[in-house]
Amino acid sequence: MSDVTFSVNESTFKAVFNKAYPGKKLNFNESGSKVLVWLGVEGEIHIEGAGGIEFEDGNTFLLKELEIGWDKLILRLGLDVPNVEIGKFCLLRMPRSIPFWGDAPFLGDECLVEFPGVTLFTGKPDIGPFKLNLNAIIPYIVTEIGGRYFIYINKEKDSSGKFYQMVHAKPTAVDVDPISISDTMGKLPAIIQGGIYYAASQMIKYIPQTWMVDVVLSFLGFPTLTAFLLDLLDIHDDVEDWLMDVLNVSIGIDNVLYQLIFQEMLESKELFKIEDPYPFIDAKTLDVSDFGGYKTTPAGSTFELPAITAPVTDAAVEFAEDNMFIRFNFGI
Amino acid sequence: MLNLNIFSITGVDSALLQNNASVIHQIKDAGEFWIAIYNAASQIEKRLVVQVDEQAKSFIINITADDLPTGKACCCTENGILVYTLRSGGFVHLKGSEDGCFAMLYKAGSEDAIWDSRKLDAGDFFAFMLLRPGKYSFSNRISGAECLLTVAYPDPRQNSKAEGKEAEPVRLRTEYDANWEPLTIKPGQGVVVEVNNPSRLYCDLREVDDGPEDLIAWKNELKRNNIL
Repeated sequence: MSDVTFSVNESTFKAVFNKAYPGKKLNFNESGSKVLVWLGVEGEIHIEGAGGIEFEDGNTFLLKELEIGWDKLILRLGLDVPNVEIGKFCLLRMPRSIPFWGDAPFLGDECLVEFPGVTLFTGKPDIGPFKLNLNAIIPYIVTEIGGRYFIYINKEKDSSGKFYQMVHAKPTAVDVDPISISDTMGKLPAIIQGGIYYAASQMIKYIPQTWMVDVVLSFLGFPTLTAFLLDLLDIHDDVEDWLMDVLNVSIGIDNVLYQLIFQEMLESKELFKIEDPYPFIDAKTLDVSDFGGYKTTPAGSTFELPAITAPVTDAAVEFAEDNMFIRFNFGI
Repeated sequence: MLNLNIFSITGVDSALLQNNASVIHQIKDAGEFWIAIYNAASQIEKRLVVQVDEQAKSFIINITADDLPTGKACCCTENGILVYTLRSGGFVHLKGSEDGCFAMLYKAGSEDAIWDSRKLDAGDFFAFMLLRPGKYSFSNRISGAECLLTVAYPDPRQNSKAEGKEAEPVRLRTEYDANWEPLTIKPGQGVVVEVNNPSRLYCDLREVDDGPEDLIAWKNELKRNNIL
């Protein structure tokens, strides 16, 4: 049996955990792509704390709901307008009934000469990147994160140079579910419409006259540039679905959050610490007049009584019976 | 960037082929020929040799003033001139260029052109397309034949992705002393003319069409709703 045993229950542990982990804002900046579309996302989150903690027997615990707060979410989009070819048609066909080239690799009615046509856009008709500021829908982003952590105790020196037995919780696994968005206030369509309007105005800068816009639209098969860009971005009626697809599939935001949170948790400070050597009584300076009966009196008028401490040995931490136990012996 | 070059062309002249036009000429007889291609703007002449025989594998030669090497830049022959081979009865396809071009065909050793693209003749084909909506005069400046050609304004309200497929080209023939019926095409729709008599085919814009009157109101309404 150990000299000392501390016991901490789940609710106290959770309270300590939630005081230890909320920390600095975590920034990320990631990009991805879809066909003809470049995507980037800038975000900022902070860890708010654990919604539920469940001890497992041994040295691991489950963090059922890691609550995070979103501070910023901005989507950046860039478009490569497809280089549409127009005016290609068959100028001359192989006559059906005149096999005047016996070994010709052409069938009757096959196109012999094609009119070359032209490309609608030259160079790189890229648009953007333009931003969709999604901060307004942050309250409607649902992020479910869980994880398994292990605890350990280790003798370490703190910044003041003193040694402690420190109890840490480190992640062994963090699970981040794809985020979901429930835009109950319907703010997302207006945000996207604003971004598309900007992109369309960028595109229209390349097309100096109105009739040219309409000729281009006739080749693209859309009534407006807005409709064309929405189709290019694959945005249809359900903008929430589109945004979730962009964030979860094209950007892989669950993986981004996983790495961010995992790294932050690895760098986090201790949850509990015990001074080592363990102090029983601090050092004191006593006046000799406080002493009586000593045969040998101190040379001066005061006397230094040293601190009484004991080194901590055999320190261990584990979970059992819904409690965390920290046990150690005194090396005296 | 929009290809403004092609949008700036508002006419066609078979004697000066721009990017929206091309000509086909058939070479029936075997032998060695020279083709001289002239860039109208720079007056740079480019030459190539065409060897025509019954055994050649190529049935078509596609040439344009823009991408032919000049002078000694080519190492295909001793004097740096490209040599093509063509099956007897094969076609030379002269594509238009940005500055406009024309070509002449010579029998090797002769200085008299046997064909000049500025004066098309029976057996040639001329093709073009137009983008600028409006009314054009389409004529044969040699025979005097003429017709009204309309490039219809593409009303964007009628556009749909499903109908994005380009229209088939309109095919015409030139005949002595015969006018064509008025013709309406879509922007970018091809016109192929089978030439049966000496022709210089010309198309010039007489009246622009900037769309139906109610189109502007429709667009303004969309713009008020942040739709362009």
